[in-house]
Amino acid sequence: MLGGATVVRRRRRRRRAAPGPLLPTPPLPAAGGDSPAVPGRPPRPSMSQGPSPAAELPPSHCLPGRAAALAAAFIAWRRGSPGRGPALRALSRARRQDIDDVGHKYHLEFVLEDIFEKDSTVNCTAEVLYHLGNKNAAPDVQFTIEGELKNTDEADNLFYNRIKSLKNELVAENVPDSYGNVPPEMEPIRALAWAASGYVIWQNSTENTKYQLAQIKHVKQVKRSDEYLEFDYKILLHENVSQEIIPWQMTVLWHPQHGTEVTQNSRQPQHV
Amino acid sequence: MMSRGGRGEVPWVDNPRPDPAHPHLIFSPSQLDFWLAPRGTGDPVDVRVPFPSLQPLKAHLEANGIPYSIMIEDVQVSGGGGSGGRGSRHGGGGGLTLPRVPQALVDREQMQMLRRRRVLPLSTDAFDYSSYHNLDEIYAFMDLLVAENPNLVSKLEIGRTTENRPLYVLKFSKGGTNRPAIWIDTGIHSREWVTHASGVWFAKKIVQDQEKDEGLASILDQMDIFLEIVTNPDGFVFTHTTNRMWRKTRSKRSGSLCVGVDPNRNWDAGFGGSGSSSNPCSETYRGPYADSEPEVEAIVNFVKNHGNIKAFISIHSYSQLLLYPYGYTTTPVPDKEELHQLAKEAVAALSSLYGTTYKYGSIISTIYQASGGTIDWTYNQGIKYSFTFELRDTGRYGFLLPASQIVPTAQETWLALKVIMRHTREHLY
Repeated sequence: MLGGATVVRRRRRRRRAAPGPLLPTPPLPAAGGDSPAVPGRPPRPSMSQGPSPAAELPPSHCLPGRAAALAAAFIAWRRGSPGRGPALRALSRARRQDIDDVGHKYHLEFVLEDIFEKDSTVNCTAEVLYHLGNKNAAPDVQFTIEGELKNTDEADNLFYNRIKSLKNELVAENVPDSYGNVPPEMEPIRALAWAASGYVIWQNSTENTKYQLAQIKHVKQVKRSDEYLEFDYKILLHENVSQEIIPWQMTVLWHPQHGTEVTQNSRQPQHV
Repeated sequence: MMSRGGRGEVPWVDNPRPDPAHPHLIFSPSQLDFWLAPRGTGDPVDVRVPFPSLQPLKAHLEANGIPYSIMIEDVQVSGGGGSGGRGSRHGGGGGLTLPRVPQALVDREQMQMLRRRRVLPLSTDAFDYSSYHNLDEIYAFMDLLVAENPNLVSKLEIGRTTENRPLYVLKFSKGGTNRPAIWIDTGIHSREWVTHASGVWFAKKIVQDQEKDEGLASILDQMDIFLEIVTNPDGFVFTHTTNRMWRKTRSKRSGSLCVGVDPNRNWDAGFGGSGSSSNPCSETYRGPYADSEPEVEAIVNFVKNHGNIKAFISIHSYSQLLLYPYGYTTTPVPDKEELHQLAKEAVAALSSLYGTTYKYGSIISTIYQASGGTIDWTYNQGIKYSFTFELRDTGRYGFLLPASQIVPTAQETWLALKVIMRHTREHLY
């Protein structure tokens, strides 16, 4: 896949189920400074034409934190593989623009790490635009990775050949298990879920949500006659604002040269 | 389960949730090596399965609807077991062939497996701090700690849960009467397992360091420490028996199929506000009224009756945050500057150990609006130094933090707690 900026709009209109009660967006702090005493909206130009100037936000504020999590999930989908799991390490800088009749746009600078190698980090920038009008539209995400991500061709190909040569379809449950254990053999399966869930998270995110992959409840390989690997996952997403645990089904296709595709996904009923 | 042909691998099979309708495995004992032998219907078994038996056993289990999971993929190469940890990433292919499994390796892994099971230690020195424990084990630990340190530690029962379990608080005191006190609670949300595990570690740490650590000794010379390790026992048991992701209490109300109230939305501070839910099925359900949950009411009564608590710290996971009030309103607390500065120092101390980065700020600006939260209530009661921690990690494992991270998490958090406790002692009010 190519490096550099990627502009991707939502693939298709999805009816997005609300993760829980819609909480009002907490007000932003006043422009400048670090955790100021009185939060308020950034000052607007008196004759507003087009977007307001970008207001600086403290990186510890929840709103840019959610945008950064979304950007990281998006990158995990676009750049992740069985051998690579990009994850957000830290948000360094955040600015926000309110664009009349369009939405809220976040400009972010952050550091990514790899779930396989925490010391392997890379700097990124991203723009995340949450659409005001159409709440069912996924946010627009553009990102740039400074430098190169670690090459994982060898690990990816090893995984690919291993799965292709299995006599019986791979099946597993509870990854990680209750104690956080992930058997080494299951790490690539988990990384693939991490990448695929990035797509699901992107499609379902709003300014009021922050999703994480919590657990793979069940995964089953679906044998294919073509070159792709296919897995049917039942995952749990943790939505950090409502605190809900949301079961989600996703059908994932992967190939070392063609990346990760979620061909089908659906929210599942929650336990009482 | 994966095969890696030609290595003589020895995968595991475990049966964690046996169906009483299918009690028997039909394989003869000589074919299977039980590491946790069958004890009766409904109990799990752990089996080491020789490779040739693997496929037939799997087929049998699946055909009979017997759930199983693989605990160790390949006994001869797994370093894992009860202490968790990620293990090394699989990168190598075939090529190495070992004619048999080294017995020492097998023995070690078997021991680690058994440690995960219910084997109660005889002293707090023998307790495994780098494993997750269940309620019985933690309650047994508390009794051991008190028995070993009768001059410092006592156990108080402050109430009972919905399911009638006792709510215990450990009191660490060098004497005096109703001294100014620090309160620490862990496990108010039951799925946040690293918090209970850290609470256990804190308890032992206080006992170990009370003489040799000057800072802690000075604190205990003037103040008492109260530590409630399992603040939501019903929920905690539920995470072990049924649903690892359970958060709330286990209270039931007529009129709803859904169970439980969010104990961190049930306090009388901004109760009922939009930072909580009125839906009983929601994870942030506030409950029918403030203090409806016995787990919350017990602490409310304790705090009011004590009347001299000066710092209140409620510990959650995950997100790596140190938070001060308010969550229910954007109005800053009057002591905001001092709390912000204290949080900054505490976070710096925490980071100094392993480089773990925390963010800090008020609840409402740093995570979200939360109405009816614990430390909003305690702050409004006059307990100035009211803080909430969100421990490791930031989402890579989330609630399912590997056990290998328990002790590092507890160690770094303890440094932050000491900063808060020291500041409280130096600024008693």
